[in-house]
Amino acid sequence: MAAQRKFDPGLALSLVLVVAAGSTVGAVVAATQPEPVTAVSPTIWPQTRSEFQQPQFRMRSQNQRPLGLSRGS
Amino acid sequence: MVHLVANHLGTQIRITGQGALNALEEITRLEALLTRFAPSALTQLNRQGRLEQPPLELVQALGYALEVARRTAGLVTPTVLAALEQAGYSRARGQYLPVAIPTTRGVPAWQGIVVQPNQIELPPQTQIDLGGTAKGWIAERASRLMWGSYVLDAGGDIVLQQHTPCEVAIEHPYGGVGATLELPAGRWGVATSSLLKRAWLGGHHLIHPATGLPVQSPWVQATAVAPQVTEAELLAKLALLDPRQLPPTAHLVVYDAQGRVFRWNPTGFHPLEEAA
Repeated sequence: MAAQRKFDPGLALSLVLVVAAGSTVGAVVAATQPEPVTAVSPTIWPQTRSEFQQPQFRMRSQNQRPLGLSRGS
Repeated sequence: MVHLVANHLGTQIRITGQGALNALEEITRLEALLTRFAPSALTQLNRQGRLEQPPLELVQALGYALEVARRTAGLVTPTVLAALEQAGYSRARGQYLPVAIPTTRGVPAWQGIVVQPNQIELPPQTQIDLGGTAKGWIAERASRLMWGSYVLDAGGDIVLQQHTPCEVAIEHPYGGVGATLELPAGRWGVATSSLLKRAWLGGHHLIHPATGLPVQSPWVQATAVAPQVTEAELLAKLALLDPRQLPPTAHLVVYDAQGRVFRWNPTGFHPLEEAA
């Protein structure tokens, strides 16, 4: 009886997104053999492209010149 | 680059970019139709209780206000005029004086208002104020007449379109610049609602419909950002009226009475930390 290979979703598929200068220039999807690898910490790639496009509130200016001042009304 | 500054909508309007003049003319035109501080189609509607052959823009602006009332289960409603005046926000812009000890118990229901292209009809004892939604609605509409990179700042309700990332400052509720907002390239709306503006001794302009009185909130100011300034304006008001109605994904910050700033996230309000 053939041995049943255990499916490991973390290793079975790796998706590499290449992002340069703010635009996705390519995506490579490759199936890989299940073999021990050192997982990349998810904190290194926490930001999907959509998250990069989200507004961010900061306590103070990041040295950019504000385009406007949102005043209370 | 065209840059215009003018006083409209009870505030200072600053418009920069191509089409600025068109946008300013649109703001002027819409204000004349929708204001309650001067004779207008809106004041005529409030006086008569009905209006035959109303201007299309009044139909649209009131229709939008009622859509907001429906979405918020009546929390943001245009039927607050009597409560506003009783609380002290008189018919003259910039004049605040309670006319009586408020005795209202809630504001009139919005569901009975009939808005049709050829007629608007108000239920008895119901008068309309579009202040809760009209500024964002007008700013959004006027900005559609602009192109390229632009900034339309309607007294803090800001519509901007930029081809590169940019930054918008947020006024601190007690003066000066508070937090800032980094925006990716694109088109965004930013709005700030404050209980310290258009405020007077014992009251302010943001009425809670359940009581008919100025809302009591742990926050004194809220700033929201969204793809459209109408949405940002609504989110900022919801943060002050009832944060439980905020969507988890809303992008907004609030200030408390001590001047501390908090950011909204799906688990609630948390102190806005210094950037790393």
